Amino acid sequence: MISFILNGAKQNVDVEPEMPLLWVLREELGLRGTKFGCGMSLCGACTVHVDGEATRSCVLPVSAVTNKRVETIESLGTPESPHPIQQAWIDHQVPQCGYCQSGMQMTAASLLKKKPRPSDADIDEAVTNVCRCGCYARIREAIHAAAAKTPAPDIEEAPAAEEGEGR
Amino acid sequence: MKIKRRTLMIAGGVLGGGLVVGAAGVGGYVSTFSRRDIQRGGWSDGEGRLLAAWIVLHADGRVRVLSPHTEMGQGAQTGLLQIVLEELDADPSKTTVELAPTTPQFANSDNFAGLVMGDSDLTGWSKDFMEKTFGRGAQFMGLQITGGSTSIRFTGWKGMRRAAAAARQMLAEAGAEKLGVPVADVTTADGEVIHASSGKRVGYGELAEAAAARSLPESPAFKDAASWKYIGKPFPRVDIPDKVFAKAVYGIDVEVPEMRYAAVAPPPVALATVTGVENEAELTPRRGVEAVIVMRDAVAVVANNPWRAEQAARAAKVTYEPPEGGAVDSAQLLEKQRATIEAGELESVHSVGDAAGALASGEVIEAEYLAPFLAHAPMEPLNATVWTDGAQVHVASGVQAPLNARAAVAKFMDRDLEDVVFHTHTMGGGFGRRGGTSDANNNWLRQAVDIHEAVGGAVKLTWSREADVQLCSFRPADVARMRAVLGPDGKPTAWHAQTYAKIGSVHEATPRYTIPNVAIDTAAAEPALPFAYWRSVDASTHGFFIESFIDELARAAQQDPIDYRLSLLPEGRHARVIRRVAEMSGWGKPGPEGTAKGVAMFECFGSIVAQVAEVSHEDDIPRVHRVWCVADCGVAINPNAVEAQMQGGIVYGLSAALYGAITAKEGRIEQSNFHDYRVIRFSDGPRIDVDILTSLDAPVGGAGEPGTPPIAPAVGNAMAALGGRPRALPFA
Repeated sequence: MISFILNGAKQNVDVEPEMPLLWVLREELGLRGTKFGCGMSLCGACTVHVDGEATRSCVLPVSAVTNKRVETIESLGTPESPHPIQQAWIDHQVPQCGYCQSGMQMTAASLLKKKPRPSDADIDEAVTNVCRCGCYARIREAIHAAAAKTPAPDIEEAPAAEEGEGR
Repeated sequence: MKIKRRTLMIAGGVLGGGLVVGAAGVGGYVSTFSRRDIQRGGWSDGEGRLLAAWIVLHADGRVRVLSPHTEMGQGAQTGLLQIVLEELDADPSKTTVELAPTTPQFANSDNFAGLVMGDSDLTGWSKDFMEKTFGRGAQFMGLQITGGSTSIRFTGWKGMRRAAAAARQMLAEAGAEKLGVPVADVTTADGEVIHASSGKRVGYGELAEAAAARSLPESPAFKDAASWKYIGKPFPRVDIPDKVFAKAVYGIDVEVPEMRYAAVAPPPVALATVTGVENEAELTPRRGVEAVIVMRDAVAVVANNPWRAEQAARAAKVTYEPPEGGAVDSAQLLEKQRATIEAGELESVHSVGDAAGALASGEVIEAEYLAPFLAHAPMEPLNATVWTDGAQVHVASGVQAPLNARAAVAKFMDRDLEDVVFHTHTMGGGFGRRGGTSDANNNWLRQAVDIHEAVGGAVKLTWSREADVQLCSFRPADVARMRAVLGPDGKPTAWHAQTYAKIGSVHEATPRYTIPNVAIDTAAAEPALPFAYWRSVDASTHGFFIESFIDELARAAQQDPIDYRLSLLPEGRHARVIRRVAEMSGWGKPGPEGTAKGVAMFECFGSIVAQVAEVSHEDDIPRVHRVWCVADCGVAINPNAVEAQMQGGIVYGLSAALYGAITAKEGRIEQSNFHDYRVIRFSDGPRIDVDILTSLDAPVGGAGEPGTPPIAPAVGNAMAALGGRPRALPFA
């Protein structure tokens, strides 16, 4: 039996310890917002937060999250109370097919926690997810927009100037 | 088969007093229904009897737009909604769009066979497609197709727009009668018929029954473009909120009670025939594994969890017989392609003037271009869920052509079409892979059905990314030998293209430029690997050949590539997009140090797109910094969605231009996942600026495909300006 905290609630699963977290979430626990894209940690469609860190779940053995906090897209926000990333995604009409977007949003939300005013270079470095529809330009705009609407912490004034022109 | 094109508009009543308006065969891939179906009683949606249609007005004022086109991210459903809101003067708060059910009433073949084949708007490849589709016989006809950039330009602009305008006129007539005023004195707005001078008004819902009894206007009046409220204006996509809040249900998310999961192990050699599995005894005792199934093109494992199934499939030792025609090998294929062209074993598909004579009269400029096989690699690996309920078989999957898919399943299972219920899901990318154009193209559906038949009960087949790449139906590899002769003014007097792969659309293999002698020859070869249309179809290869070679000719003539192109075009839409992209990109002005610009312009699917790419070399690898894009789609119904399609088309085309190649070595497909079938990410994606031009008098063009073809030649032409022209894709 493996235990972890899933979206705030304790969860026990009886599976092989090496089963990737992705398949535990999707098939054992029925949370299908997290997507399968490559199975090799290459595309990021499966991104969740583990103890607050954006983590690719398709190669992460479920045993590795024992007693850790796991958050999935299902906990990010709701239509009634959207996360700033989700509101920006709608305002900027980001998704096309939408399949990569839960992973993109989880990656972006984690980036904003660490860097409330990310530069373009920060985005290039942190968001290495694949979008085959090519929504990159809008995702970039949306991340900047969400950042601008999030109250800046006291110490994070300076990097805002780096934003420059979105690509 | 030539049947005169005609338009049938049909209106009728819904039980409970609604109005329903549809159209039959007014263009390309439209949903249709026939009078016979109406007489037979139509189709019930549970709310009362509903005749198959596009627009349904309920007595309570709700308007439902039924789209025959599935959603793969292009936003076509929103565009269709905008068209109906505009021409119906519907109340936007009471109007919704939904996917039409996968039933023949939405794609009646009797009308379609004649109407489509006589439709001069269809390009060559779609005609070819239609012929193949109809060739299956009436039972298997299915025409809810999303592809070819057709949703808006055919279903929407030619079909739903007319249906909406007709419904508005019928409602206006019914409203005038009810208010006791002349019809000329009423207007319509936001779901009401209004008599302005008396202030009297009546809602559409109240008029639905009376309107349904009126005869359908032959040629309803369309709104004047100057008064458009919805068409041509940015409109929020209806599918986006569900995708943002992870509520969209893709095929891979389908859940059915008692469902098991399947994974497949393809043989290592493409097109090989699987004969068995060496180590079945090792696989079956694994936790959760229920069955190992040998199919012609793969071994399948069924388990109670997809990961368990996949792990067992990966451990399977598949035995196989090599393909009958020999294993495909990319290097050998290239030799064969070149030899075929060299030997002149070609057929002429287009000829103007005397290209051979003109070529013999001057110094020939010649270049050879290579385009590889490509996989579509949609983000959602292909999957399908199959189960039975009583006598009926249910299949759930994301497909571009639901009725084709349904017919394919019926054929695979040797069942009547009526026994198959197809549940169409939103697609995690399509790009042609899910087009259902052949049994080979439908291979994942066939596997899912085979597995279901072998084990019974509900089964979901999910392909690994590796299976998705290796069992793909590919964009064919092609070789082009291009030859030209320039006149004293530097303009080409002759243009001769000799290519290997079968050409579906000659229009897209023929330059738009004014050249007196043109010959297009092809070996018309069938692809060596399974084939599927790939975003922009023939334009993806021929756009590269034509727009690279015209650039070579400009340089040979020592002329600016933009000026050269303009000198070969009449005043018009093509010249306008080129001028605008030159202006946007600061063409002729130096860019950042180490960069150069390249331009390309291509017309396909009724739209004209020009792009300028700004490129540098970093460690011998091209780096694309910026792309400027100008599109003329006639009328862009939703400019925001068209911009997204241009951005997406560029990124998709750039992935292929820089990195995309599927190669076979002695039958083994050498690529398997995103590490060796590399695609663009943030770090190597360019900044993209898009401008959309309007041509009100032109037919509405497509958006999904036309953004893709120009990017490869634009980047190649920029690389040529930096020094060293690339003639083989991919460039990096």
